[in-house]
Amino acid sequence: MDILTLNEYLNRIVYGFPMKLVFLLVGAYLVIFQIRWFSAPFRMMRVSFSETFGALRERAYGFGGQITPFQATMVALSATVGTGHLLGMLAAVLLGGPGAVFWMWVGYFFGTGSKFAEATLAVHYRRRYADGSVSGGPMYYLSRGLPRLRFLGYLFAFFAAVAAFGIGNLSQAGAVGGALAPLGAPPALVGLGLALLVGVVLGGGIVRVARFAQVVVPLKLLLFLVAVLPLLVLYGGNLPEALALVFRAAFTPEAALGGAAGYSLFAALNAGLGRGIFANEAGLGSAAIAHAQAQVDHPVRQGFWGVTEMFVSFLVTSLTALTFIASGLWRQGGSAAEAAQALFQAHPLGGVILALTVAVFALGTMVSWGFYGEEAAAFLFGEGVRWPYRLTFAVLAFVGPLGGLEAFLAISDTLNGLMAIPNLLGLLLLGGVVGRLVYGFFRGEPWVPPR
Amino acid sequence: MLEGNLAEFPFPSLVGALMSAGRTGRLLVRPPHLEGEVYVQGGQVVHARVQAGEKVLEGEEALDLLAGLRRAPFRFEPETLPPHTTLLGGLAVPARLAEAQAAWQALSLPADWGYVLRLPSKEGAAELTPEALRVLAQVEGKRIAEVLVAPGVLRLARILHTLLQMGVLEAVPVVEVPPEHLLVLPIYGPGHGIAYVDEALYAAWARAIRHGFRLRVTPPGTTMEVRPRPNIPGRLGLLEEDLKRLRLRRGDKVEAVPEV
Repeated sequence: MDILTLNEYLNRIVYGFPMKLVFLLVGAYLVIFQIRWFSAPFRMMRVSFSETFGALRERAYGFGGQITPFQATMVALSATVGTGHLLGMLAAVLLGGPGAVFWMWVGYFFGTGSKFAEATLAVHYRRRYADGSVSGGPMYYLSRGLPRLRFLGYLFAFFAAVAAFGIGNLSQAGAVGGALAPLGAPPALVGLGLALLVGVVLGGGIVRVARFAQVVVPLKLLLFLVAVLPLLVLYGGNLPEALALVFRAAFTPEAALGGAAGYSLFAALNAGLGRGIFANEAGLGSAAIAHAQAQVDHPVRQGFWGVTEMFVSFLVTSLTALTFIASGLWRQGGSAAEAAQALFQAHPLGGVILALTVAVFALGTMVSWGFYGEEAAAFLFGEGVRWPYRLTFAVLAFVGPLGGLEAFLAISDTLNGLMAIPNLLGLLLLGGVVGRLVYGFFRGEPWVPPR
Repeated sequence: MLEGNLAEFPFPSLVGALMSAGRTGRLLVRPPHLEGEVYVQGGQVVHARVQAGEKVLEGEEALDLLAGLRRAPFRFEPETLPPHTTLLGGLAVPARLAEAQAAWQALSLPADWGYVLRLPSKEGAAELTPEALRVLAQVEGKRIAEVLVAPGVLRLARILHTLLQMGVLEAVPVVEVPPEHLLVLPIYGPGHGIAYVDEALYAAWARAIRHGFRLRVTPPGTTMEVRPRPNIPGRLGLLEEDLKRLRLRRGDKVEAVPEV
């Protein structure tokens, strides 16, 4: 068995349906038994809003650290809200039909448990250094929280450090190059620009990455609204029908869609859960690296920011999906790229807005993943690896738009999926810690970091 | 030049040492809000004077007062002559000092005479002598040092001691801590009436005040119990119930001033 065959085999496992069920079950366990959203749902909702949207006006005030909880969430959102929210979402509807959107929402709901737990544990087990900087993420909570299974932390760090080069860099740079090519931008020039930008931003450490994310995330959302709102207005009349179709096709797609394109319950479940899990990265553990940087007095506060990240991601994917379903173009089939072109033909700005949105979405993802990879590499090899990692990342950002390296991309995609295995195991085993932290938070107890 | 603190070298012993060494000069004692001086000439104490603001005590009354100081920096300036004499010297001075020292030892006034006397906030009934009542009527808002610089020092001190012991009067430090501008941070938990500030800020206040204190939060101008909490610099942690009661919400800017 050669390495590519092995990679293909592993890829089928980590992105397969059983693995998606594992994601869902771990999320459900955390939501129901540890965080206990349902114990006092209205209070939970009130606190969640107070801790996040209620804290927006104090977004410039941290708790005396390097970056604020808001900025940490922006870094995480910058990575999360990527091309998967546009093209990936269209692909999911094309594969699973409108019912996939319902299952995506289910994935999002239980994903809040995983994301909340990741952000909380990331802050709880992070390392604080003498210069005031901090490092955290799954590699830290796995190695510090589960000392007998500390190899899980190293495994996660290895997967993340390599995956960041492929899925977080080459693939994103390729998406930027591909999006800008129709506008006449030469791939080499795009690559050079990306390499410079990524190098400069990553070179400034977490503070510069956070400042970049603070600008790029609102820009992403603005561009997304400019891209989607005219289409929503255009197809607004069909929205109630689209929404009804989502629910009808969720359980009996054959009956709801009249057997169109052979949509089945399994296809809807598989495609929907895939989006509901991988679009928001809940369970993968990547966003926890960003959340660990937030200066908060209690880890649970950052957990609520993790839920906000999910909420923003949920809005973007849902609006994309509903617009697409309302347009009726999903019935035509084809690839996600073709469907996107067809959808945006009706937009007053045409394909330009799609190209810009895809480019900015991919750019933000690149920078945040660069930081994730760097943190993972520093965990494995020490502080000295930061600059070599940044330079390698910048060089690959240049190569991305030029194409090639498909084998490496395929392997990094698998490694990206493999990140979930140690992380989900950690979330399951450390669920009790999350539960105790939540309990203590709602008893007004101060946070005591582990030694 | 001889200098030190009465905390290490009590006043009667110090004066006794100067007398037995046959020194001539001026002993300056400078506790906060008080100025004391004792002149010694050839080992004889010939003049003593204490001043607090415009009030002055001289002679034996001044010695009585100085004997009650538990800590204060002092300095001896040799060869300084007294402006006039108020004491006859001889063995009467050490005897008077020993008597005063014994009287002070039976009393428990605060060591810091810069503390201000005030009526307690709690209401209650107490039976007082006419003299104690007269003192009580005159001392509110005044510093202990200022009150004691009056004829009949030891008697006044005894009355103050009684009033303080009975809880009719309380002595509190004058707090001059600048207000802190803090952002409201919700603390989710049971209870009410407690404000949390960062450990470092609490420690700084505690060092400056050296007495139990509460926190005045403006707006809305309420006083609350204050407790330290880790990792909340720049924030004022308030419990959910207090947030509702005070109509405050997360991120509101408030002014916090510790009050004794």
